[in-house]
Amino acid sequence: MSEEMNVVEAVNAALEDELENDEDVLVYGEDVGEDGGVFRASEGLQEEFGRERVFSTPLAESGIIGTGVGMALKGMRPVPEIQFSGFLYLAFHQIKEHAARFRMRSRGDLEVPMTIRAPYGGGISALEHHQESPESFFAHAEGLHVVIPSTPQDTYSLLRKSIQLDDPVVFLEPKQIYRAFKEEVDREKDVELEKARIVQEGSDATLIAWGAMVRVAEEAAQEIDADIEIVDPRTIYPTDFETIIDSVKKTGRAMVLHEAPKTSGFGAEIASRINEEAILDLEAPVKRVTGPDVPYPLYRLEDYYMPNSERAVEGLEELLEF
Amino acid sequence: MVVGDITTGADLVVIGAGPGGYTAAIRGAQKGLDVVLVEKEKVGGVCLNHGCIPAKALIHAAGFRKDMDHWDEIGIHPGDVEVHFDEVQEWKDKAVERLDNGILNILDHHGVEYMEGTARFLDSNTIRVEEEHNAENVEFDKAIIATGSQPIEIPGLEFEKDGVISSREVLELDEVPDEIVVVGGGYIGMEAVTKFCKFGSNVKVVEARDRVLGMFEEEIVNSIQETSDMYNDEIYTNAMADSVEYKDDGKPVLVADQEGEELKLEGDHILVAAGRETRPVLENLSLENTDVDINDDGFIETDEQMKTSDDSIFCIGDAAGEPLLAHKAYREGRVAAEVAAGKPAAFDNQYIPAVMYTDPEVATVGLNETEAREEYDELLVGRFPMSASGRALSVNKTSGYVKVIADNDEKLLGVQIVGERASDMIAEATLALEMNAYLDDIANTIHAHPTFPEALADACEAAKDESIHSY
Amino acid sequence: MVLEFEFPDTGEGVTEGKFLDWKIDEGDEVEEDQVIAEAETDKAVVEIPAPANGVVRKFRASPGDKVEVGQVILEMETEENVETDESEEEPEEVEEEETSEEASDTGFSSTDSGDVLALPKVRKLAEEKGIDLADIKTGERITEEELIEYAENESSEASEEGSSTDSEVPGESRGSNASPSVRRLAREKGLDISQIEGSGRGGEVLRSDVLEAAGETESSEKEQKERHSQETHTVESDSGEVERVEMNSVKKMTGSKMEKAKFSAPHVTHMDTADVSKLVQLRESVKDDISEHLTYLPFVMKACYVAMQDHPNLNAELDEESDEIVRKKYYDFNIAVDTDRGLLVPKIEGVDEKNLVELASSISDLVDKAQSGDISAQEMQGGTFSITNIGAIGGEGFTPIINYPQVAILGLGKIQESAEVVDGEVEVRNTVKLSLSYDHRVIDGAEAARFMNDVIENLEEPEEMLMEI
Repeated sequence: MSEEMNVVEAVNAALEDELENDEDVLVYGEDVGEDGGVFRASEGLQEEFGRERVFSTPLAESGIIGTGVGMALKGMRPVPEIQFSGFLYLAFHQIKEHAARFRMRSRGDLEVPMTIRAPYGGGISALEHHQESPESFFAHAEGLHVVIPSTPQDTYSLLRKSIQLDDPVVFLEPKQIYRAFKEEVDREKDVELEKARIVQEGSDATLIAWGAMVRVAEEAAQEIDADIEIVDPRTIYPTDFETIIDSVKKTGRAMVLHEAPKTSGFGAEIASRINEEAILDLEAPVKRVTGPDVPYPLYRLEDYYMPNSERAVEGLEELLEF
Repeated sequence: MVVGDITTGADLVVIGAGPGGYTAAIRGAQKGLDVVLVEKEKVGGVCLNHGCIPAKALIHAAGFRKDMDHWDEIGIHPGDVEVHFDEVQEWKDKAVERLDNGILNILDHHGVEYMEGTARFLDSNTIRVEEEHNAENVEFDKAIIATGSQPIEIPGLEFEKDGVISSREVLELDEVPDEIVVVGGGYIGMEAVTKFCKFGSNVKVVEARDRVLGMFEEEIVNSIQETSDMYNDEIYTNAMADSVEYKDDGKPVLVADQEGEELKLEGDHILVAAGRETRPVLENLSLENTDVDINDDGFIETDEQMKTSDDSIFCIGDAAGEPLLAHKAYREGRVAAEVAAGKPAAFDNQYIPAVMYTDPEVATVGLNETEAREEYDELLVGRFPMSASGRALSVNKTSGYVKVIADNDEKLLGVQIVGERASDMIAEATLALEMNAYLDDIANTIHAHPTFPEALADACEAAKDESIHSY
Repeated sequence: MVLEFEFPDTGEGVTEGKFLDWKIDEGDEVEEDQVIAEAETDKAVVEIPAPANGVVRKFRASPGDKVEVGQVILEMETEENVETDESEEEPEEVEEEETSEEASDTGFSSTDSGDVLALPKVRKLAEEKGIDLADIKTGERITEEELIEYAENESSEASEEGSSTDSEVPGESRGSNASPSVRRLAREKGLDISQIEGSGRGGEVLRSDVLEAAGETESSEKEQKERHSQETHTVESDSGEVERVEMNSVKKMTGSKMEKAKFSAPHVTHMDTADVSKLVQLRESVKDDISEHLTYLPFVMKACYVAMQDHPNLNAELDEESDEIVRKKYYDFNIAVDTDRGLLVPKIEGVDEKNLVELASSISDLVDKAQSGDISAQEMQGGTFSITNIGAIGGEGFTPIINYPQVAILGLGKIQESAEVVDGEVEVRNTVKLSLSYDHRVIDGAEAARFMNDVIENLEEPEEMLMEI
């Protein structure tokens, strides 16, 4: 069965199907219940499944996640929403030191099957805290899966897989493209967690991008007079380096495109791994086109911060001409 | 949206939910496109809310009122009849609301996203929609401009002045005016005459040219003037409206210049119905950010597929040019949406009918006799008076005639109908013309009896000098 | 730059030679290709040209020396380093050279001549337009402008042929004499309705007119189903049981065309035999190297074309009204193809312009189309000459009927081994019988015989014929 939906509709569909599928699943967060979420991600769910399973919480992120850990340890499968990724930091201790740690702490006796959803990323002219790209912080916290879809199909399938996973997942939804386009979503399609997607094949260079940057990558690949292979890791951690390295060995050149600031952004990890495993195949150093090392600015300067297709093209040109 | 400005993507954006716009939106959705429809006022646009539909509703009510005066002839004596105009307006408003909701339901059924706000172009693939508490961008593959037109404002008689109203306000009046001055003897003005006269108003018409209803043949205008005193008494031709003055009690007085002489006409309102224009509406669309050109007449030029000079933008309805008729917009909306969906559609229509709801009604399609004589040396003309129609007699509506014009090979060129059901009868004539019919195609088709459309068949026979029911 | 000039390989298996003498002196300025020396090889005395513009610095061979191919015989300075007034520009030139070398090292412009080189958006645009970029050019980058220009030329040709299938509507269809549903049908078929002749009253374009112009008839869809089962039914007649078989439209049309041709043109058939042994050998030797399926037909077509140069009346038409023989300067030959539906005659265009491989390719394409029922009327009409190969099935000589309004048709019998008398001895040769039917109003017996002689000569000595095409 397949129907056309955009990213946020895909989130809603995935939540609905998981609530239906597994009575241990709970969906909750600020404004998630009666209001259906500020982005309408949980629209209609409370009406369908009741307040016991879909509900709103007080404005208290560490409590939202902390209680989630507790519920998970007791056998539930909570799917809390943190309204904006910039507020995840308030719950960081609960996420890293507890949710991510329980399996190891208990030598495998206890598990935390929790999926934390948060809209992330910039490009929507919003205020402080509302356009953060925190994937690096969570990738660095051992014990967590970090997943970032870039299409409605991946959003639907990977969110369901994340909820079904018996370990904690931080599921970051690129809100800039929540409603940018619709595509056919096949609910039965099997999409592997921890596997990257080749967005388009090419032979001149590998461009690794995720979230809203995948569309920027596609635009840049069209603009430039070269055959670019685009790889979307989808699961930031654990990363499918096999796909990425195979691609880089084929093309000989690599570039990473991400919104988050350059220093210690996830591009740094990817570049290092490529260095370790494919240095003899490289014809140029790995290029990174990213946000600058500054806090995400107010909207008047937003266009200078967000990597766009012009900057991606420039990066590709430098990469190809090395 | 709570925080932030998230762009929506769509296959097709339609700006304006009037007849052209909502049709295009629904057809686009039927063809599988993802459609966003933006409207700044009400769905249905001018036609459903401030034009065609409410006007016809009021004319219908007025018709009842007028008819009652003749019931005595039939033998029905209603006695004193009261008209509560506010109730009439209420009924009319409900009918309009029902129609609007019907459209909204259909839009919803087809998954069209309906946005209430004002749109303007940021570039050839993006619009910005400003809603009440929110503004957002919509990126599109194709867009259709269906922004319609607005009444022309006459300098000296601006709508903001007290007592000066447009066709929109005249439909909202709470009471039947005792006297009303109409500037403009076109069909909107004359329809206004029709409805208010029937409710008992004294209507005065001021027309700049030498006769009213210049777009119709003199024969037609003479016919309706002969039939009804409504269109005779206070019609001032060759009179240019200048300005408005006010009496002591605040009532407006129109000051006009009739061939050098000053003419003053007072009324409860001055209705300015001097035509419609598109330019002011188009200027709000920020079209300079696109490749769309506006021509000297204030319209957007389009080709047969309704495409403008910008490859991703179409234009339909009044914004695309004459004639400013809803049914042209209806057809253009379908064409544009189908082309946007990749189908081979085109506006290849050869005939657009025109209908006027005077009393009797007038409807024409194709060439009139004057025009036909200019193009063709020989013609066949058939005229059938409605007084010879059994059906017309049976409903006591015998004024008017049907005239059919054909070339020497008997191929139809045009039809003019004046009479009770002219607006309905013209449909058959339009179909016949579009299908390249000959006189025999209509004459030899059996028309049910007794009906009004029989008169069309009779008129075709008359064109061959073979009319059974007339001389 | 100092250039070390090596004794060149002059071919023919020469590996060494004797140096004879220098034609220039040390210090002389020479131009590229200017003869600067002579040497003697086993085969001949050869002239040695300068490899580039430059100045002769030093001789490294002397008259009488034995020199091997590849041995340095001369040092010269080529222009880049020659001390001239332009020396200041050199560094830039050198840099440009380097960077252009670098750029070409990045390897994203391929020098492989078969590759399609185009930007993705050009590829996407080409996909939207349904154009195969390889048709435009390969080995060199295709720009968006070139694609658009190509597409415009294609669509203007296509709208003449009436075969474009975009939602682009060619031509102004308003004012057209057709009902709305017919106008739409024309658009769907990608046809310009104003170019279609209407058979309705007053010239109205009807549905059937549009379908005909599109190369289909109302009944052609039915025919597809009919193809395998012709309507037959058995009845009792006065003399006994008979079976009535309905004739499909192809048979009916073929029948009426044959009737017309036979009754308007006085037919004479000239028969003769050609010894095609050499042709058979030639074909055997090349057919495996060619990707296309190569029959004898391309050779026969060329043979006729060459013969027509001296006998133009064979590629003509009779204008009965003006009593003129209209000699065609183009060569589009129809070939007879046996299909499930009956006899069809697809047309091979440009027999004069295509080479044998291209003819073979066109033939197999059109035969496939005809047999699968995908062929349009336009692909069969308008030919100038016809060839029918009954020999493929069996038979030697026969009397083919001319394909009206052409004036001649060549029939081929089967190519077989037969006993022929050559120089007084009986030998086994490959022969084929040719039967040329012609319209005696236009061509007389002598002309036909001479034409046939030329055709036979061309077939008997194919390699000589190939010289003329």
